[in-house]
Amino acid sequence: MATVRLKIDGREVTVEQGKTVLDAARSLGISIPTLCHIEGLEPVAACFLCCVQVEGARTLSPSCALPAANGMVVTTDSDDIRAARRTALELLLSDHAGECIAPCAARCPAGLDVPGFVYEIAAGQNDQAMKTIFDRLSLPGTLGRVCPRLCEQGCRRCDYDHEGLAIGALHRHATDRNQAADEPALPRAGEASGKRVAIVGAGPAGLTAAFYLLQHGHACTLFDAHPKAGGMLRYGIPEYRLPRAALDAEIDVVDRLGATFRMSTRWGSDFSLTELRRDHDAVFLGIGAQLSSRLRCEGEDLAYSGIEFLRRVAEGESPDLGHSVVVIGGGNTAMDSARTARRLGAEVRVLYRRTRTEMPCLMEEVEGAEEEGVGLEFLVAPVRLARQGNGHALTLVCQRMELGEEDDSGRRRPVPIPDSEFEVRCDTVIAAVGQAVDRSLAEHEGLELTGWGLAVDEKTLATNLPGVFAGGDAVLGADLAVRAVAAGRIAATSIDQHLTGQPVTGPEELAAIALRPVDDEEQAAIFRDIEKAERVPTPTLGMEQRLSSFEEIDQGLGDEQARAEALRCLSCGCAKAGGCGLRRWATVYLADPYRFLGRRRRFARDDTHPEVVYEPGKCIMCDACVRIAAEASEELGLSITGRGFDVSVAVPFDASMSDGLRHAARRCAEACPTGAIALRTGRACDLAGCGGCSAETT
Amino acid sequence: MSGSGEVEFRVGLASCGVANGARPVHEAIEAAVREAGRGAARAVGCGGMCHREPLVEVVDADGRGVVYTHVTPELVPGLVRRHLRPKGLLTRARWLAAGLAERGNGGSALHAAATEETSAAPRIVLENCGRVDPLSLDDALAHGAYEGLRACLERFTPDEVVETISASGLRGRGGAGFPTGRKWSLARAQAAPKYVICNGDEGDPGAFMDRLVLESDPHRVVEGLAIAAWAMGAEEGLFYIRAEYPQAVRRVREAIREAEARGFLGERVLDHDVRLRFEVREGAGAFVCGEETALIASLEGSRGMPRLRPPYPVEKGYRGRPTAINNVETLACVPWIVRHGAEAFAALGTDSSKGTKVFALAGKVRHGGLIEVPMGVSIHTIVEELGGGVPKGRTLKAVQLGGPSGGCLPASLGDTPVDYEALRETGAIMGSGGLVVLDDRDCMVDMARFFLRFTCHESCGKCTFCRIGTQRMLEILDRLCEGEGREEDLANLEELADRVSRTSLCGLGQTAPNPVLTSLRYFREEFEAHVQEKRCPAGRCAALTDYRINDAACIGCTMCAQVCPVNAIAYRPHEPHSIDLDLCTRCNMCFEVCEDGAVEVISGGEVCATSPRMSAAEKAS
Ligand SMILES: Cc1cc2nc3c(=O)[nH]c(=O)nc-3n(C[C@H](O)[C@H](O)[C@H](O)COP(=O)(O)OP(=O)(O)OC[C@H]3O[C@@H](n4cnc5c(N)ncnc54)[C@H](O)[C@@H]3O)c2cc1C
Ligand SMILES: Cc1cc2nc3c(=O)[nH]c(=O)nc-3n(C[C@H](O)[C@H](O)[C@H](O)COP(=O)(O)O)c2cc1C
Ligand code: SF4
Ligand code: SF4
Ligand code: SF4
Ligand code: FES
Repeated sequence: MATVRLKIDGREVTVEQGKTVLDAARSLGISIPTLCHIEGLEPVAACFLCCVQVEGARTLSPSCALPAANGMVVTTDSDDIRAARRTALELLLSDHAGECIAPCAARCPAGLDVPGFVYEIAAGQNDQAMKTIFDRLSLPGTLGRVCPRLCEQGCRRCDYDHEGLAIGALHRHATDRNQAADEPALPRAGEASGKRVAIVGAGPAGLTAAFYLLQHGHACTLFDAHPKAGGMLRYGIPEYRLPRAALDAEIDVVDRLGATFRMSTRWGSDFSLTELRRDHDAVFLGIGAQLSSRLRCEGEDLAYSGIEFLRRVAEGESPDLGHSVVVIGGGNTAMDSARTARRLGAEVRVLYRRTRTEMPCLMEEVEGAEEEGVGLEFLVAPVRLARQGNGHALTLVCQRMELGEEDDSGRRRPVPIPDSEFEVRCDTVIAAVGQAVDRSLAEHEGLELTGWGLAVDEKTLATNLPGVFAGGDAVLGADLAVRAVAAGRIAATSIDQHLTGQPVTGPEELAAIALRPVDDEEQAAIFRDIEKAERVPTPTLGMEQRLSSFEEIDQGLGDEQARAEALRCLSCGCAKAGGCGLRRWATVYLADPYRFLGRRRRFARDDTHPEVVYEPGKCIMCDACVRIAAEASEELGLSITGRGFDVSVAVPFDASMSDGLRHAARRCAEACPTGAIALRTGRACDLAGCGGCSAETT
Repeated sequence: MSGSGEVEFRVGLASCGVANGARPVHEAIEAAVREAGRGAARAVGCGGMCHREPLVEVVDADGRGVVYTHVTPELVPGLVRRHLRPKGLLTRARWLAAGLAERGNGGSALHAAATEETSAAPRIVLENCGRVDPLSLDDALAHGAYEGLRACLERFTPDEVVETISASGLRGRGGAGFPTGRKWSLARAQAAPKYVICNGDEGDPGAFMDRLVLESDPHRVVEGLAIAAWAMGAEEGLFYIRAEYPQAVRRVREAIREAEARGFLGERVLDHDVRLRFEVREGAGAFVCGEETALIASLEGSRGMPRLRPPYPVEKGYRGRPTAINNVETLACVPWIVRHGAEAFAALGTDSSKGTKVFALAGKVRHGGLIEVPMGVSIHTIVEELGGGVPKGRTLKAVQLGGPSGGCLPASLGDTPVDYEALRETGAIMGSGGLVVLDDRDCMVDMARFFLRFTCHESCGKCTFCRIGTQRMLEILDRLCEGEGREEDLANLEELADRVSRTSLCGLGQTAPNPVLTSLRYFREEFEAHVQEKRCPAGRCAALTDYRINDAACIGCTMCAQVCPVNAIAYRPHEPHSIDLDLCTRCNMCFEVCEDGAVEVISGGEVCATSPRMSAAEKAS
C-alpha cells in the first residue's frame, strides 16, 4: 500500500494513500473538532469546524475531506483557526431554532434538570427522580416548600394554560416520599480523600457545600454560631411554611454523609479564619446576611428586628407583642413576621413604602397574609417612632409616598409626598427592612468585599485568599435559598478541583441556546397536539387551624396528584442536550450564540416517525442523514432542498419522516450531530398512554 | 462571404433579437425580398449590440455593410426598397435610412462598436457572430468551420495541438483563468476513458456572451470541443447548457446532429480512426452548477453541490474519470488558434494574458452590449471609447468587473489593463465578462448589496460560512442602506467577509465577499457615512435620501409632475414645483427628466446630486 508523508503541527507522520488530513492528525493523537464528518461516510466538508491551515494555501481547508499528500505541512491550531471555528459555531447557532435546556431549567439558579425528574416522577421512578434532583439540589424538600420557583415562571405551560407546572411541589413530593420510604435513595459519601474542609455557616450554602464535598470524599466540618443547623431556614422561615421535621430530615442526609457539626461556635470569637486555614485544606464561608438593617428614622431602637423576632419564635419563645403590631417592610421577613404575629394572636398591619407589585417576596405570601387578616398599606414610610407616655404603647409617625424614577434595581423609587404625615398607634413595631452581611469581620481577616458582601470570582466563588471560597447570602446579600444551594454546589466543585490539584474553573456549564423570539406560527407548532390541562391544586390547611397553630399550610401533593401534575410537563429542551456536538464545541470554543442574531430557521417538528423526531430548525446541514438514508437504500430517504440560506433537509415530495426513513431512522438519529434528528425520548404523552402520534404510523 | 452579388439582409435572431421583436422584422424582410424578386433574407445570430435589437445588417453586392438598429416591421419596406434600388441612389438611400434608424435610437451611433472601433484587433470569439447563419452547417463551412479540426486530424499530432494551445497563452475564460494548455496536458496524461465538457452554464447576472456564441455560432464551439477531445484523447463530450437558454440548447443539438451527419463527429471523424460522441445536457439553472465539481454532480444526477478539490476533475471527474471542463468562450478561441497559429493569438494582449476577451458592457455608458477587446486594453478605453463614456452631467465612479464574484475598480485606476494579474491586484477580477459602469449616482453599499444578495441566494447552502455568513453580511448591508447601521457593523462585515472568503469550499463562497471587500477598500468613507451619519453620499438609498425641487431653477415645465408615478409632484405649469416627501418613493424619475437643474437629491442634509442643466440646443436634440 502506497503511503504519503506529511507534517502536522510540526510532527512528521506517514499514512496510507487515500487517508485524509483528519485521519493523519488523529493517528498522531491530535484532536480536531468535527460536526459533519461521520466515520465511514464520504466526506461532505460542510461545517468547516475541522478546518486547518495547509502551508501555502490562501484558504483554510476542511481536514475531514482533504486527502493527505506528500510534503504537506499542516497546522491544526492557531488563533486564526480557533477564531474561524468559533465564528462557524456562532453562525450555526445564529440560524438555530433550538433550545438546549428547558426554559424552566434555564431559570433555575441551581440548574435542576426539571423535565428529567418530572418525567421520572410521571414514570413512577421516584428513586431515579431523587438521583436527578440530588445532582443539582441539596435540601430539595425544603426548597420545594420555600423556593419562589423562578422555574415555574419560565414554564412554557404559562403561555398555554394559565399556570406553569408545579415544579416545586413535585420535588417536594418526591423528597417527602423518599424520606418516608423504607430504603430512601440517598447520595453516598465518596472514598475518603484525606482532605479536610472547614465550612463556616450551616445554612443552605454551607450544608450544600458539605453535601457535595462529602460525596467527593472530602471530610467536612461545619462551624455555626447557632445551636442548630439550617441558617435562615431554621431561624428565619416559620414552621407553618417549613416544618422543622422536613428540614431536619434533610440536614440528617448531610449528617449521614459524614459531616461534623461544631454548633454554637462563632467565627470571630471562637476561632479565626487564619486558624481555620491552618488546620484545613480549604475553607468555605457561608455566613449569610445576619445583621438586620435599621429603620433609619428617629426612635428606631424602639422597633423589634424582624429576624430577631422570628429567631425567638423559632427557638420556641412566644414574645409578648401586645395587641396591635405594625410590621414595616415588604419582603419575606415582613410577611413571615406579620403572619407569625397573627398566629401569636395580634392584630397586624404591614406598612410598605412602595406598592404591591414591587414587593420582593412571593405573591402567595402576600395573599396568605391577607387571608389571615393582615392589613396591608402601601406607599407609607416611617418618619419617627416614639413611646406613648411611659407605657408600652408606641406612636409611629408615617409619611405617604409616591413612585418616582426607576432606581438601579429597575423598581420605581418611592418619594415622600410633602405634608402627608399621619400617626399610627400600636404596641409593637417590627422592622423587617432587610439584612446585611457582617463586613467588619471579613475585613478584619483580609477578605475583599463588594457592595453586597464578600468578593468572589463569579465562576469559581474563590475569594481573594487562596483556598478560601464563599457563597450564598454572604456574597449576594440577603437573597434566596436556592441561590445559596447553587453556590454551595459551585464552591464544592471548585474546592474539589483545588484539593485534587486541578485547575480551579468551577463546574463546567455547557453553552446553551434559547429559542427566541418565537412568533405565533412557531408557538402553534410547539403546542400542536398538546392538550390543555389545568394545574393540579394542592390541599391546604383550613383557616381556623392556620391561625391557631404553626402547622404547615401547604399539605403537599398525593401520589396520584403528583403523577397527574407531572404529566402536564411538555418535556421542553433538547433531546440531545447531552450529546449535541454543536453545544459541546460551542462550549469549548466559547461561542456566543447571540453574536450574529438575524433571520433564522423556523421551529418545526415532525413526530410522525415511531422511532425518531425531526426538528428541521436544529439542522446544521451536515448531510449525514441524507447520506445514511441513501446508503440504506431508503425508497424516499431525505434530500437537501432549496438554495442559499433557505436550504433544508426534508423527505422528498413533502412526505413525512415516517415515509422517508423506513430502515435508517435509528442510524440517522445516532449520527445527527445535533438534536435535529433524535430518538424519541419518553415524552409525557407517551406515558399517558395516548400513543397518538406513534400509533398512527405503525 | 457574401460574394454572391446579391444584397443580403441579415436579421439577428438570437434570444436578444427575438425578445425585442426581430422575428416579425425577419418575416417582413422575407416578404419584401420575395416581392422585389431580388436580394436575400438571412437569419443570423447576435452581433453584440443587444440593446439596439432588432438589428438588420444590410450587406451590399460589394460586401460593404451597414447596420440598422431598432428596426420595426413598419420600417422594413422602405429599408428594403432603398437597398434594392439602382446603384446610383444607394449612397443617398443609405444615408437616409441611417437617419431613420438614428432617430429611433435617440441619436446613438450606428455601427457595432465592437467591429469598428477595435478594428485593430481581429474578432476571434465573435468572428462570425451575426454573420453566419447558425442553423446552416453549409454557411458555417463557408465561414471556415471545422477547418481547424481537419487540420488537426490531417496535419498535427494531439501533443502538437496541446502544445499549440499552451503556446498561444490561452487561459480559461470561465473566471479562474487557468492556463488551458496546462489543463489539456494534465488531462492528456490521464488514462482513458475520459471526458471533455463544455461549460455553458453562464450564471453571472448580466453576462450573456456564452449564450450569444452558442446561439449565433454553435459550430465554432462544437469544433472547439472536438479539437479538445481529440487532443486529450477523450471520445465523449458533453455540453452543459443552462435550461434557461432553450435557443442555445436547440441550436447546439442541431449543430451536433448536422456535424455527425456530415462526418465531423461520430464513429469515424472525417474518415479517420477517431471517435467523438457529443451530447447536450440541460443545466439545473442554479448559479453554482457552473462550478465544475457541482456541474459534474449535476450531470451525474445528484444535487449540484460542489465538493473539495483536490482531487481535481482532470484526475477524478465525471463518473470518477478524468474530465477536462472548459468554458464556451475558451473553446470558441480554439479553432481560431489552430487555424491561425499560436503566434497570432499570442501576438495579442499582455505578457500573461493573451488573445481577446468578450465583455458584456452595461451600466452607465451610452452604448452597452457585447464587446470583444484585445487583452491589455485599458478599462478607461473600454468605458470611454467603446462605451461612449458615462451620460452627460455624470462622472465615472467605478467599474464593476466579474459580477458577483468580482469587484469594483475605482475610476482612479482606469488605466488598469485587461489582464488577469493586473486586475487581480486591484481586488477586482477578469471574471467571466460582466463589466458594469458605475457613475456618481451609484451607491457602493447598495451595489455591494446587490451582488451579495445574488450569491447569498445562490449558495448551494453547504458551507457554514457561505450559507449563513453571506446572509449575515447581507443583513448588515440591508441595515446600512436602511439607515439602521450599528457601531459594530463594519467590523463584523469585514470579519465575516474575510472568513467567508477563506473558509468556503468552492469559488462561489470564496469570491462572494469580493464586491464587499473591494468597495470597502476603495469607498470606505461611503460605508462609514451610512453607519455614522445615516447618509448615502450617492443619494441612492431610499431610506436615507430626500428629493427636492429648487425654486430658483425650476421653470415650471411640469415634466417632473408628469413622470412622477405616485403623483408626489403637483402639476402647476409655469410655477415652481415641489415634492410631497410623504408620497415620494425616491424613484429618481423626476431627476432623470428635469433638464433645468432643478431636482436636487439630499442625504444627511447635503445636496448630493442636482439634475443636469441643459442648453437649448441639447434640449432640442
Ligand atoms: C425571614 C426570612 C424568610 C425567607 N424566606 C425565604 C423564602 O421563602 N424563600 C427563599 O428562597 N429564601 C428565603 N429567605 C432567604 C434565605 O433564607 C436565605 O437566602 C438563605 O438562607 C441564605 O443561605 P446562606 O446559607 O447563605 O445563609 P444563612 O441561611 O443565613 O446561613 C448562614 C449561617 O451562618 C451562620 N453564621 C453567620 N455568621 C457566623 C459566624 N460569624 N460564625 C459562625 N457561624 C455564623 C449563621 O448562624 C447561619 O446558620 C428568607 C430569609 C429570611 C430571613
Ligand atoms: C460559482 C461558480 C460558478 C461558475 N460558473 C461558471 C459558468 O457559468 N461557466 C463557466 O464556464 N465557468 C464557470 N465557473 C468556473 C468553472 O468552475 C470552471 O473553472 C470553468 O468552467 C473552467 O473552464 P475554463 O478553464 O475554460 O475557464 C464557475 C465557478 C464558480 C465557482
Ligand atoms: S441541537 Fe444542540 S444546540 Fe440545538 S438545542 Fe439541542 S442541544 Fe442545543
Ligand atoms: S438533520 Fe441531517 S443534515 Fe441536519 S444536522 Fe442532523 S444529520 Fe445533519
Ligand atoms: S462555498 Fe458556497 S456554494 Fe460553494 S460549496 Fe460551499 S456553500 Fe456551496
Ligand atoms: S467540514 Fe470537516 S467536519 Fe465538517
